[in-house]
Amino acid sequence: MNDFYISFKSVLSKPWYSLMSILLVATGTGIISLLFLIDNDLQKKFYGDIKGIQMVVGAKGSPLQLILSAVYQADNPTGNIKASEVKPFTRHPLVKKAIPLAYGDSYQGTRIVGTDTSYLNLYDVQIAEGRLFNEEMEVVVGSQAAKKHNLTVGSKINSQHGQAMEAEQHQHPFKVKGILKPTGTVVDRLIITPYQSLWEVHDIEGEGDFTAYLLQFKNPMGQLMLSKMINNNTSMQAALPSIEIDRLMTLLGTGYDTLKILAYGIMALSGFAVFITLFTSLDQKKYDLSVMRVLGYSKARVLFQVIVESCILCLAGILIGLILSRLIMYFISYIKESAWLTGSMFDTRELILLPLVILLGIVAALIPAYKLYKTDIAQVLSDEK
Amino acid sequence: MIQTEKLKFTYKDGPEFSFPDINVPNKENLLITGNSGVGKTTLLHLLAGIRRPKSGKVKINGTSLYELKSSELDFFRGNQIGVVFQQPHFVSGLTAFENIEIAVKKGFPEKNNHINKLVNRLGIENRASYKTNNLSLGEKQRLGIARAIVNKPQVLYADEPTASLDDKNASIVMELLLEEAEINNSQLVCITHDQRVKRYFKNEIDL
Repeated sequence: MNDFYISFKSVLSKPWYSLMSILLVATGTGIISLLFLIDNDLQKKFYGDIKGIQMVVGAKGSPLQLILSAVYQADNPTGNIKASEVKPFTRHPLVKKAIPLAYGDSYQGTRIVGTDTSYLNLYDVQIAEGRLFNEEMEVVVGSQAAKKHNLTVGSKINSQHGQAMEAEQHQHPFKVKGILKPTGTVVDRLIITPYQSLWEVHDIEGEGDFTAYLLQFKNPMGQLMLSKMINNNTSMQAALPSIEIDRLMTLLGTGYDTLKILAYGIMALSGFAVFITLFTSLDQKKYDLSVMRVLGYSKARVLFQVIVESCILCLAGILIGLILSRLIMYFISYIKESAWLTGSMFDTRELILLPLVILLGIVAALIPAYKLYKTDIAQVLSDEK
Repeated sequence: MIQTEKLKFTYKDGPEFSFPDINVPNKENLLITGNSGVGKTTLLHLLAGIRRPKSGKVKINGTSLYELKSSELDFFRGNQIGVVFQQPHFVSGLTAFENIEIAVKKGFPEKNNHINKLVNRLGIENRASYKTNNLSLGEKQRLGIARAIVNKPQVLYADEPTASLDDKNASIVMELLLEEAEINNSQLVCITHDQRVKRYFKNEIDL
């Protein structure tokens, strides 16, 4: 008979102890796996939304705030920049692509971003319904924003100044001309219109201000040169998204590392639970293994069975932990319809959990296995049970 | 053929047991009797290769047990020796059938068929799928016998097989042991203090 089967039956013969051990291992591995998946999602989200944007030009202030507001539409703008001041840089021969952004208004808390079609091209948007905007006061709506406000092609909306729901409403209605397919990027949460619409709403005649410009360069030299020129010689600032996001991730990483240490602590505790399970069943196991020794099983073989039993508990734990972490991810991304969590289902770092858990199983089994190794089988079988 | 030579055993901080030499030719059975504390079970453990003696030899059909390496002794015990314990011991998580199955040596032809025939012959076919703690004492004893003889061993040891049984059940168990030993060409060595068993054996050693 297969040794794995005997170990498996031994696990089943003490269901409550086994369940407790499995659940503890599942909790530890589940939390670690969940942290990996969330981290993976955040990384994808943060670095995915950058989409090759190498520089953001905006009003002076916090560079992180500029990046968060211009790229992620998640913070207040640092201010406005004059078209006359920014244009020489957007037309610089080393600039490959310059995308204008004018924002600050909203519709019931959803940002309205003024730009041109190059912004939509940056995120490879596709129309789900209707068409793209052709002229001022026409908008296309991201998939989540459309769902949130029940907007369809033909809907009319009035913008508000700023982000507050109770803010003053402008009396220039926008016409919804298209609904976008989900992209998994920031665009899903936005209402997008030609930037001239925002000037019109604010009754600005001629060329108005921009809030920021997103730039891509033909070569790294351009990024370096323009960054220096803008920061040293103008009233604007040039912020580099990759550097700011790295800084942000480092800040977030402190909390992430603390949680990870906690989860590894739970895993160590679960190893102890497996050890207790094996240890408390030693008395019963002594009889079982002594019987097997009399039947010709070698010491090494019966010890192998103890280790296999421990590994079965740990592997069942990791399996349940991985399933639970995925269910939680699915639940969060489904219930919250969160733009930040896309419901990642795998992270390569999870692969480390498998050898780690097997090692945990082996370590937890060592002392019980040693005690069984030293057992005098004749003595055990002579004793009344 | 079972032979012992100047067999001695000492428990840690305990008395030393010196056992008389045994020489049982093939196809003959042996009864070992003695009062409590004379070392009957210790002798069985020595004969079965479960405990190593302080000195002396145990030979089964020419194989000197304690000259074998530990792994060879395990292998020999599993394949050539069957033991029926006074108190039947089983692997708790397994069914009756599986408890026999774990004893079957590798490569045994038509293993399941053989076990099925065995449980039928011993009248426990309806209990084959039961966990062993759901069996009666009589069923456990028959299961213990089935497991001990499943490999058709050269020697079948039985330690106090009739202890705590009434006359009727004692004779059923003894007849079963003798019958199975004969069917499987095994030599039966029975260790007991039960005087009722004497009539089944021609050879007897009183410790």
